[in-house]
Amino acid sequence: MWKMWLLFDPRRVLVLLTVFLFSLAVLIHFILLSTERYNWLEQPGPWGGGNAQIEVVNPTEPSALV
Amino acid sequence: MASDQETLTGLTREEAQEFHRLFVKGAIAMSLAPFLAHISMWLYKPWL
Repeated sequence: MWKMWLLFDPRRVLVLLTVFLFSLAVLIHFILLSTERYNWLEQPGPWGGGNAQIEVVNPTEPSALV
Repeated sequence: MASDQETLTGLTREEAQEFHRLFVKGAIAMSLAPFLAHISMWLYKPWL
């Protein structure tokens, strides 16, 4: 296994690995940010589960505009 | 290889082995953080 360093220059491998892993990490973080479940910025509570109550008022008689 | 000393990357066999030991140690250490991150994220919000 160590013989790979006789084939691949360690400096180039380290630089390429760094750039690749960093861009992969950025990509994955942005993918998570684009989801609703894993978006940690738009969360009401940082770690706690926030519960918001929404009251829906149904209009009884039809509105005048119709 | 042309001669025993000369290699493609210019490293001697000892240097390659030494680098490999450090590289593997670093790779394990560097993969510890994402491993812990995935475990804590799974405990918080499993994705499957």
